[in-house]
Amino acid sequence: MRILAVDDDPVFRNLLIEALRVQNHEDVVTAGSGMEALAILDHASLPFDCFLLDIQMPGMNGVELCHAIRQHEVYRRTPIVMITAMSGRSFVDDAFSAGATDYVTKPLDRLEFQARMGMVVRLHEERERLVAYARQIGLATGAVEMKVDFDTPVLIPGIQRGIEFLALENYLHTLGRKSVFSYAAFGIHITNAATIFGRTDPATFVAMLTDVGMSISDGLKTEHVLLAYAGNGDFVGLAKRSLETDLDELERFINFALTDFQDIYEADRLPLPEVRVGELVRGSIFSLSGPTRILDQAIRMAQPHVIRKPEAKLLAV
Amino acid sequence: MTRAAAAHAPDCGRDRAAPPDDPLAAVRARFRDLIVQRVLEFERLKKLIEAAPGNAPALREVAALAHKISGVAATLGFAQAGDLAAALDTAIMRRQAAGVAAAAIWQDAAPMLETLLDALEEAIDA
Repeated sequence: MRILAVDDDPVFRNLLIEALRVQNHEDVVTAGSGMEALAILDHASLPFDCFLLDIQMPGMNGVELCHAIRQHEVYRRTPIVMITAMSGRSFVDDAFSAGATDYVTKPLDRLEFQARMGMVVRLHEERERLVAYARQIGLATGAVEMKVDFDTPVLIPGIQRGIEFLALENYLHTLGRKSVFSYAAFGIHITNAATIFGRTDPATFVAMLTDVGMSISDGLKTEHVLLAYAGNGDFVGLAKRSLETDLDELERFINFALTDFQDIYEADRLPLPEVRVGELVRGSIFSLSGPTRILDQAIRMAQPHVIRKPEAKLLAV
Repeated sequence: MTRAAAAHAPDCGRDRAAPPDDPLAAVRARFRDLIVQRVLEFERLKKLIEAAPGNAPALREVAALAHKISGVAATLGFAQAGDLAAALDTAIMRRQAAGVAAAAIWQDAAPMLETLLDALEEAIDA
């Protein structure tokens, strides 16, 4: 696996090289700044499979670099692990919004770093498997990646604040159970997603998800919400504990915004997607369940069979 | 080793051989070398701030240096220096972000820096 590690501190770069070597990652290139990293990307003969980015760097910081890397089509889904000191955790939200997959804190804990890199390796191997499959059947990789199952949590391109579902789960895991208390989640279920999936090809299905994702993003306006597609026609949003947007109003807005696409869906002989927004679910400080439980619960609350309680809009898990 | 002596001994810290199977031995040696430079840099910044206590850029440089030390020291086995550097970095950056005047920040930061410098000296001598 080919890794690009970016940190302005030469000692930390050496430390990363050694910490990666211990995990049998020998193909590591380092850069001392965001600009140097971008220059390396421009001249790389082989693409990188993983990025490790320090967040707090002079000049272009790690969040800006993460965003710039994601603009390269080839690195749209490449794992990006952010590295930050505990004092810099406030930047982590921005990093996930910019497309980060995960993050680790300085000083590096050997076991934690090993676990994070293990996750990266699994993502990389999955990607390699798809590339090999593409070669085998003579298709472009993009075409294979479009062969999604209905329950696959794909990254929906072009959505503001949109991140991979796995990255959203990682974010909650790194926050820990206590900090999840200060977050709230809500699910957005496309009620006719299964019908649309059954009547079209995967590429059109993903295009439909993009329409819905953009409508959700428009409806959330300036709210600071991380948004991910979890598969099965379910989006989930994660916000700080308070949300100014009324979720009933959001549901009406999304369904109205989707009518803009009516002609396209009619031309494709597909039903217009319709969404149902669930109640806001807040993390509970007393909960013994894992931190990602809030996402499961939010998704569940958006399902059609769950009756909404108009007087009690908040649910703690 | 004193700070003054450290200035004239750039290769200090190399005399203690690390276990041959220690993958971080070379990085640790480089860190020790850099500590000497960073101690001198801290001393230079300290003089600048003491001459003009409202010198916010110099204070930010102190925080940035402490930030770098905090990122690697604990991983390389210098936990105390790492913790002190992190505390100094946080103390300066949080208060600067809150709009506190540089002179007031320095009043609290100066003794923290002294403690950190002592810990760095110990790391050099270890």
